[in-house]
Order: sequence, then C-alpha cells, then structure tokens
Amino acid sequence: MRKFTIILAVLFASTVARAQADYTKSLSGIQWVKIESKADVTVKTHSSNELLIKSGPSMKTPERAKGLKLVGEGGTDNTDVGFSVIQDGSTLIVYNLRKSGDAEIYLPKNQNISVKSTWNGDIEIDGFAGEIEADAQLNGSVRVSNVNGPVTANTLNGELAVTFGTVKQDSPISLYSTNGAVDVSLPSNTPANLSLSTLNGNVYTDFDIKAEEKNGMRSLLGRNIKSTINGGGVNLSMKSTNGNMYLRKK
Amino acid sequence: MENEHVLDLIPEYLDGSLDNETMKNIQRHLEKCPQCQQEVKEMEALLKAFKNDVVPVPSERLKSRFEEALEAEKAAMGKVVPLSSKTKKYDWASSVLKIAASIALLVASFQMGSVFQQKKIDQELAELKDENLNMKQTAMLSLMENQSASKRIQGVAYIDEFENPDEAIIQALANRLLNDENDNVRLTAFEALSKYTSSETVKHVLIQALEKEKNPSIQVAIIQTLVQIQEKKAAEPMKKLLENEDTQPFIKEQIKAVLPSLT
Amino acid sequence: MEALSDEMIMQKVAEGNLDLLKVLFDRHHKHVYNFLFKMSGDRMLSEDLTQDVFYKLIKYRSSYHMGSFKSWLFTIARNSLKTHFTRHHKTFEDIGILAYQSAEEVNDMTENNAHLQNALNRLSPEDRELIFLNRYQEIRYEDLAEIMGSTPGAIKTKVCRILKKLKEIYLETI
Repeated sequence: MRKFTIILAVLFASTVARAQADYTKSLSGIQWVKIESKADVTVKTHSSNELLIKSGPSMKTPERAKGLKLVGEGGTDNTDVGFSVIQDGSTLIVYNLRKSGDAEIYLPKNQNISVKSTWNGDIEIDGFAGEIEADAQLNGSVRVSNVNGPVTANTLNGELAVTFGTVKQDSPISLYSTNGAVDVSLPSNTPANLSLSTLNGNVYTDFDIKAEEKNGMRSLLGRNIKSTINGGGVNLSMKSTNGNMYLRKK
Repeated sequence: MENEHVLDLIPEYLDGSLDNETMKNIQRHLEKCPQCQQEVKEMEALLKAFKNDVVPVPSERLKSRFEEALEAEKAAMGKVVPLSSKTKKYDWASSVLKIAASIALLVASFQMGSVFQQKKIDQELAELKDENLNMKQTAMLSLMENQSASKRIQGVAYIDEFENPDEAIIQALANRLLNDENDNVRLTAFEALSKYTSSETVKHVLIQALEKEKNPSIQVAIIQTLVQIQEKKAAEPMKKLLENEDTQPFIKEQIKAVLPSLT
Repeated sequence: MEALSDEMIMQKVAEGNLDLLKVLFDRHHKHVYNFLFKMSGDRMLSEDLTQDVFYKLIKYRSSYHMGSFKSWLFTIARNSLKTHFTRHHKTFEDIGILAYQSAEEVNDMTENNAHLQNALNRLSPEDRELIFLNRYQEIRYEDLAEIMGSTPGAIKTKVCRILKKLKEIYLETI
C-alpha cells in the first residue's frame, strides 16, 4: 500500500512538472508593459487583452531545482515560466530572470510597450499599433516591424531596424544607435519631417531628400540632414554616431 | 396677462431668461393662480434634476490630441501670412457703396465703430498672446513629465516655440538631460540645450552631463559642443573619461584630439 | 479674455490665428463631449467624435462666416454623430437604445439621475436631442433654431412642450 502511494505521488508530481502551462495575466487597467531581459525577447500580438508568456522548450528547470524558485536581479519567479511579473500602478513590469533562452511574449495590438535588453539579447517586436520603446543597452539589436505608433529606440552596438505600416502623426519617432546601423522602411507616401544625422557613417535613401546644409551653420554631429517628405508631418529623427543610415521606401 | 395662464412661459421664467416686465407679470399671475403655482413647483423639480445631473468629463488625452492636431496644422500652414482683415472689410464696404451711395455715410460710421472694435480686439489679443505662451510653457513642461518617451521628446522639441526660454524651461530641459532614463530623450534634450550655450546655467549643466553620461553618442555630442565654445572647465571630466576603461575607444580618440585646444 | 466673444475669436482663427482655437477648445470641448456622450452613451466614441469635431473646426476654419459660433459647433457635432451612425448602419432608434444602456452603465449615478435618465429615455430620440442641447449645453433658442433649421418661436414652443411631457413622466416615476 505504501509503495502504491509513493508511485501515485511520483506520477502526480511528474504530470505537474510536465504540464508546464503558458503564463497569462489580465491587462485591464494597464497602460504600459515594461519588459526587461538579458536574453532574446520576441514580442508579438494576439487578440485577447492579456499578457501571455510562452513557456518554451528551453524552459526546463534543472532537476535539482525542483521545488525551488528561480531568483534573479528582477525578483523571484512568480509565473513558473522563469519570469517575474509585477504591477506598479498602471505599469506592468515583466522581468526575464533567465540569462539565456528566448522569451516569447504576446500582448494585445494596442498595448504600449517598453522593452529593454541589458546584455546580449536581441529585441524583436512585431505588429503593434501602440507606442513602442526599445533599448538594447549593450550588444543586442532591435528589430521592430509592422508598427504604426511612435517608436523610440536606441542601441549601442546592435543594428536598429524599423519597418512601419501607416505612420501615426501624433507623436515623434526617435531612432538612435551609437555603433550600429539604423535601417528604416516607410510607406512612400508618409508625410514627415526628417532629421538624419551621423558623425562617421553615411546616409542612404531612395526618398527625395535634399540635404540642405545651411550656409555658415556648422551642424552639430558633423553631418546633419533636415528635410520634409510628402509635405512634412510627424518628426522622424534618425541618428547613428558610427553606423550607416538607411531610409527606404516600402 | 394677469388673468391668463402662463404655463408656456414657465421654463423661461425659471431660467430667468425673460425681460423684467414679463417676469413681473408672471409673478403677479402666480400669486393668484394655484394651478400655475403647482406647475412652477413641478417644473422646478425637473429643472433641478437637470442641474444636479452628473456630467461625464473627457480625459486629458482629448486635449493633448487636439493640441497635437493644431500644432500639425500650424506646421502644415508654414509661415503663410494670413489675409489681413482690413482688406476683407474694404471689399465688403466697397460693394455696399456700389449698391447704394446714399448710405455711404452710414457705412462709414459703421466702419469707424468697427475700427474701434478692432483696436479693442487687438489689444486683448496681445494679452491673450502672453497667455498663449503660458499655455505653451505649461504644455511643454507637462509633456516632459509624461510616461511616454515619445511624448517627452515632443515636449523637449517645443523649445523651438520660445524665443527666449525662461529659467523654468532651461531647468526642465537640464533635468531631462541629467536624469531621464531614456537615451533618446537625453540626446534630444542635449540638442535643445546646445542652442543656448551662452547661458552659464547651460554650460554648467553640460559639464555635469559629461561627468554623468554613459551613452557614447551623447558623450561625443557634448564633447563637440563644449570644445566649440572653448569651455575650459570641460577638460577635467574629459581627462576622467580618458582614464575610465568603460569609455569607448572612439570617444578616447576624440578626446585626445581636442583636449590640447582646451588646456 | 472673457470679453472676447466666441464669434470674434473664431473670426480671428479664420484669418489665420490658429492658436486662438485653444481658447475655443477650452471653452466648449466639454459641452460637445457631454452632448455626444448623452446621445451615444459611449465614452470612447464621444471622445473620438469630439476630437473629430475640433479637427473639422481646424480644417474648415475659413468657411466660418460670422454666424453664431455655438450653432456652427453643434451643427458639426450633430453631423459627426449622424455620419458615424449611418456609417455603422444604425438609426436614430439605436441611439435611443444606446442612451438607455448608458443609464444602466453609470453606476455612480444617484437616484435622482437615474430617474431623470429613465424619464429621458422615454422621449423620442429627436425630442431628447433637443432637450440635451437646451438643458445641458445651455444653447439659446435662436441658436437652436439655427441648428435645427427652424425658427426661435417654434423651437421655444417645442422645448416647452417636451419639458412638460418630460416633467409628467419624471414625476410619475419618482
């Protein structure tokens, strides 16, 4: 009998361990979702108003960590998928506690999101219509695609690439890199006031841009192009100190 | 009237929107007409319910969106000088004159009146302009505190609207440069401040920022500006950056190239 | 600043002083929003439509010709609402239903408000609109007449008649 109980218990425990469910949390009352990670982060859209963190195959907890909680800089794992999720007022803070392994996160299309990679992680964001902030602080790259809203992004060594759908006109776009290339694609009819500047890189574009350097005015960062396209509109500022800049018609 | 029912006038009576004489007449009638008195009481209850009704208030977003639309339209308008109102009035007046010369005198006196009116409006507009500047400053300062980095950048960019930004604005920009967590906001704030390097406050802030800043793009931009204005006090923080092993090599090269000109 | 009438300011706006629109926005956006909310019972929609009304003001500023500003403003507001509902294949009847829903929705309503709302919901949509404009937005009969394409006298009589009817319903249910 005793043996039987033990077998049952073991069976039970193993099913619990295997049925590692995705983590979800409602987003009602949340204005911003801030994600911080050392590893790669991919953020995609889904249709429900909740945060969903996929528990990937790489999420296996080591055997001897059974019954223990993962603890990292951002806090303690309160999601069972290796993340710490904390609500601070109308902001939801999501820390990826693991130092390797991809994180796949789903959020509603209109969510405002801010993603920070603090080490080697690449940031990938696809399909959002809200505001997007992305910051790759060390070696990571930032790739933002199919977005409409204002994007504020910054990389140190990685490449920064953004592909816009229709660009909302209500708030400025700001894309900076120190050592990486900045590569932006816009619908060709996008109205915008452009400001492109680079110190040691070059600017390439198929938009009709006249680089007017004002006479006698030395520009701040060596090369500074200001121009309007399609009659002018939202402010779009692109800068790379040492990288090249690519502005493409989509 | 005293003997006629006043039922149809009661709402206006309660609103107080009738002329004095009518009001008095109604009062006199009410004194001796219980039926109308009853009607007044009941209508008063209803109108009171309207007054006490809670009215929903739109969110702040509405205002900021409107202001953005307005700015966009202003930008689109460019520097087109608006048609002055005087020419319009002239056309109007001349066509009237064509129709009937006999009323020319009337028109003239009307125009005199409207000239005075115009003067009054212009004077009040001048006062309003001050108020507008205040509004802009408030908008700018509050945008700079927004949770969204894009909005903070927008707030910083408002600096272009001010010919002579006052201390509060400079201080707010300095705050962004020194303390904002977002690199893009800090760089935009730096660019805004770099237009006012003749100010001692700004010089001081730039030196502070150079000591503190970790983003190499912003570091190099600050260095260039401080060298351009030949700020000798910048030499110390630059030397420190040279000694610091976290400093990017290209920054060090830059410093090595410019440092002799400051010392 | 109080001394400047809406009309004078709008005239200046039409001549190119766009900044002055802020004054008009501050003075009136709550009224427009409130009217749209009363009509639709939908906060988000009302905000979007209010936004739309002021966009139109910006866009069509030069078409303003010294008439009553309030009439012009609310004519634009009514048109925006109508366009919205026709675009979404809804009729005035649906507006009635929506307004009723709003009464259910607002849970911080006092008893008094609930009674008033219930009474209002029993009016025809057209009558209700007139009352909203007259009571909540304090629009003068002259301006109302301009908005509705009628005469001040006729509007006055109509408002008075509706108020009487509303009063009966209101007192009956209280």
